Amino acid sequence: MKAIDRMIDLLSFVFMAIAAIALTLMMGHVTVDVAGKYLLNAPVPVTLEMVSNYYMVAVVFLPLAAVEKVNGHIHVELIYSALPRVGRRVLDVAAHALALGFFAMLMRYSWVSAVRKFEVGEFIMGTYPIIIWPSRFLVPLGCGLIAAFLVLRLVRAVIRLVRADLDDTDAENAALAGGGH
Amino acid sequence: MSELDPETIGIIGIGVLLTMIFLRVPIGVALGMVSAGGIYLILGPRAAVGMLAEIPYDFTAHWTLSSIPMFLLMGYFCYHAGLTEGLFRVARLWLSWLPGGLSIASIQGSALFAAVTGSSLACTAAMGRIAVPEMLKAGYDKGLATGTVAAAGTIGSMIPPSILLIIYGIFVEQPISQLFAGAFLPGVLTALMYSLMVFVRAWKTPSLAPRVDEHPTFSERMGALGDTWPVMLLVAGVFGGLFSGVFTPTEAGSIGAFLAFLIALMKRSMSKTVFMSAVNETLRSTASIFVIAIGAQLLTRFFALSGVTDILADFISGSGYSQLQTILLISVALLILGMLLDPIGIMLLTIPILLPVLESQSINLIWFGILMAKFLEVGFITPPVGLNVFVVKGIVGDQVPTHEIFKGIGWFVVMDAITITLLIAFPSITLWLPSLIAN
Repeated sequence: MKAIDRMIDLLSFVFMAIAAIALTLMMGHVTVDVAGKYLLNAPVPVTLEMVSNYYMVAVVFLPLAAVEKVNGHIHVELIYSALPRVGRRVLDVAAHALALGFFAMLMRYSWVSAVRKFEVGEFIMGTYPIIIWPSRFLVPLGCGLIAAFLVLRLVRAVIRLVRADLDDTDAENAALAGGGH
Repeated sequence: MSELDPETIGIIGIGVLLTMIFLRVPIGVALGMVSAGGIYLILGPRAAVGMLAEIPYDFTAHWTLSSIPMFLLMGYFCYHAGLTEGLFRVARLWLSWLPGGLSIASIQGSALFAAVTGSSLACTAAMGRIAVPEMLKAGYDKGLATGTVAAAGTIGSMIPPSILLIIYGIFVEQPISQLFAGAFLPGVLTALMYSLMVFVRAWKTPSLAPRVDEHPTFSERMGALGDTWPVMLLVAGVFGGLFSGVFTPTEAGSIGAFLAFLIALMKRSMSKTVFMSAVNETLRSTASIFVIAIGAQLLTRFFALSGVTDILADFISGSGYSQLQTILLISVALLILGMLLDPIGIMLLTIPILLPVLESQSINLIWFGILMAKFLEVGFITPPVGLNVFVVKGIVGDQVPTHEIFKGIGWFVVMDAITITLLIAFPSITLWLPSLIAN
């Protein structure tokens, strides 16, 4: 389990790095385009297509696992924090299982769709034709990594449900809540 | 496909959805799972699979939506590079002679900071770290000191840019620039109402907010103002461009982020750590917002298919409610939800339900969007889940107990009630600026 943990850590770091590059490129590409358009009367070609179909998709789907790692997916604590330990762990198991189901489905179906777009060589026609099928694969990649991580979390939540002595979930949650804002 | 008729499936879906959310299933996951299940029951597996396969990508690959990460990045650059500390200093040098001067300075500082950030939480965190220690040192009442910052933070998602309003604009198909223009005066009004209340209370009960004995000279004041010119220029450039129709929202956000980066470099406050923190936080916020938005997009399809929203719209138009009654009904619902749920979650959860109702009553969607944002902001500071209060609590630690911060909020909520009444009674407060700018 430790090895899988490290593998997921490494992958989510790489995915975050790629998303960071996409975010920076988005800012740079649009800024240069605006400068070119108004100062030199020469906009950068395919800005809209690159921003929408490549940078945005990378920025949204690649960080999914990294967000899950810091409990960053928006949820409501209200009833949870008032429950006894066992109740909280049961809800953890349920929430992780549902999230796993959701992202696994997204991974599976978006993969099938991406393969189909690859086979027809999907592109869009702007000022120039630009192929967009490669960015379709970012969806199953990002959803796949978070699904893998959720499998781990689910297994861990089940273990912690039955073994109270191994349960440090609440300390983990508190540490994460204190770290961000 | 199933034994049940679509409306029943829709109604059961709403129940299951709320149950999941309250049991701590991530909101986006709950929205997605319920919608997928509902569509499966109404139309069968092919339709459900088709939507899960296509909607996440098609929704995300969207030009206007890319303004969300760009405006977030601009705000986080300003925040992490400390470009905003000067704003409180300016407000303080100009306003500290007033009764409750430090508190009023925090409110005005937050309003200024609101112009570079689209998030209440960032606004509260940024101002809280600087202003709360100053007020406590000056002997301010603890509830007032902390309450001021938590409440003033809500101005962050009113004064443009506002992430909440971008999302609203996408879902109800209204131009972002119109929404931003519409939110400006209500945001300023909020800041003025808060300041007025603090002024009156500090004037009546001087022990709440002891006067600070400072006599800055005119040149000190002008000097501090001078230090903030890059940020002022940034704000003027970004929104000047957006409102005059020169920039699209994405362009305004990108240029804003780029200028914030340049200013931080110029001031030597940009480092690798600052850059990486800003980028990381932008990515995390963007991804978590989009998971909910994709879920909400699926929910919209499910509700439309089930016809459950038409039932509600027909019920309201058939019951002969006036526009005002409809708005009041919605207000109560939003206030209750606001106390329990995250603002972006509420917005995305309720828009698919409310939109047909609003349209059937021909309620102005710009005006309603600002009103909705204002209601959700009140939810940021009311118990039991006042997120801004928890941010302030995180800053003050054990110095001030949580219930005292909530107590300090009380008067600010009263002022919000007055502000909201004014916004409902005089729609032109909201709609005047949008009518002046190009679409």
